[in-house]
Amino acid sequence: MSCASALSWETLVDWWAGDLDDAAGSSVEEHLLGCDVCSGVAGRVAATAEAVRTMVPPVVGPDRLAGLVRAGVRILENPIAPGQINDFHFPRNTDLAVHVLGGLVIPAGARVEVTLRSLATGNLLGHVEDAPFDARRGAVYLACQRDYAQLDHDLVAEVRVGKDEPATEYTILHHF
Amino acid sequence: MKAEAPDGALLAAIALGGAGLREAERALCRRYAPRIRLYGLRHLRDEERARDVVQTVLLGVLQAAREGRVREPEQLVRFVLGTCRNAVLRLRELDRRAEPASNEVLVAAAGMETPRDPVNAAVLLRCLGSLGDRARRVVELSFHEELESDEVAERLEITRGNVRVIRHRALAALRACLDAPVRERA
Repeated sequence: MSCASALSWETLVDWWAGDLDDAAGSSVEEHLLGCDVCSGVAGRVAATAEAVRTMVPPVVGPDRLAGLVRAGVRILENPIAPGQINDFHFPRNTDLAVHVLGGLVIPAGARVEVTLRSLATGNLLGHVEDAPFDARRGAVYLACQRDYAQLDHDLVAEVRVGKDEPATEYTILHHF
Repeated sequence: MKAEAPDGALLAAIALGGAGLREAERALCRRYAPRIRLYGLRHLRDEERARDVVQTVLLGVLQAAREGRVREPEQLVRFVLGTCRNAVLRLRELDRRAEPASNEVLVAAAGMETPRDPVNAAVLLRCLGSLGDRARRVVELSFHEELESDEVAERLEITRGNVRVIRHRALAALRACLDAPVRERA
């Protein structure tokens, strides 16, 4: 099976992202509806973009958390105080564990940075520059999924409120 | 009637009716369903509603083919495209009338819906982490927060052209990482 005028990956990404004008978009769509080869490649673009669109990021804000609760996601909150070493067992009947990194004073409009490191190696596991937070509760929500069993189980979360302020640390020992 | 028979042969068999009708209809549906789903997902960003588009469009196409209103392959693609557009417009109109409780609920539900090809969350996180900071932000802002290119450009203080180039490369790198065997992932 082949296509004499195959659409490029770049064109398909632009199409999926809505970056083509109406005429170009229609032309791509007409081609895709008639072409197995190009619709297969477009399917790979779509699957990749959809995986990103539907993911639950490692740090979520209160609005997103409330939305997940309303959508029926089974969530367990795990409050952790600054400096605490938390031994956490991921329950079977839970879709999402939310580590509530509390005890923070976060003024509205503050810039919050979250850094996740492996406890054993100190390796960087993740970094969120402008992390969402719950100012009212003085907390940052770390969303933990069962799939994360594949990652380092024991981690240190550093939360920095304001660029030049010292980081607050939380240590979480996961058992999946 | 073989599944790989050209569209023209399938349309002819459907218009003719008789013994080959069902098989030709099945072959046409198998061929077009994934393409129509892609169209629906692109415009509605919702797997469930994309499936509704597939059903609506295929029913319309089969009806037209049975009645001999669509005979030529080129005509078929244009007919499918037109029917897809109408189906998406109708679904959007229904959404407006239904007035959902809030966008937030829909976003949240979309966030936890089962994708067609589920991606392991840890693998996705690791693969996103393997992209450079700027590339990862472009991918997240474009596809997770669903910002337009101009908005991504403004947020990251780069040009719209840069956003597109970074996005092309980053999405290809992300796909390659997701497809790679475990030992090859960064």
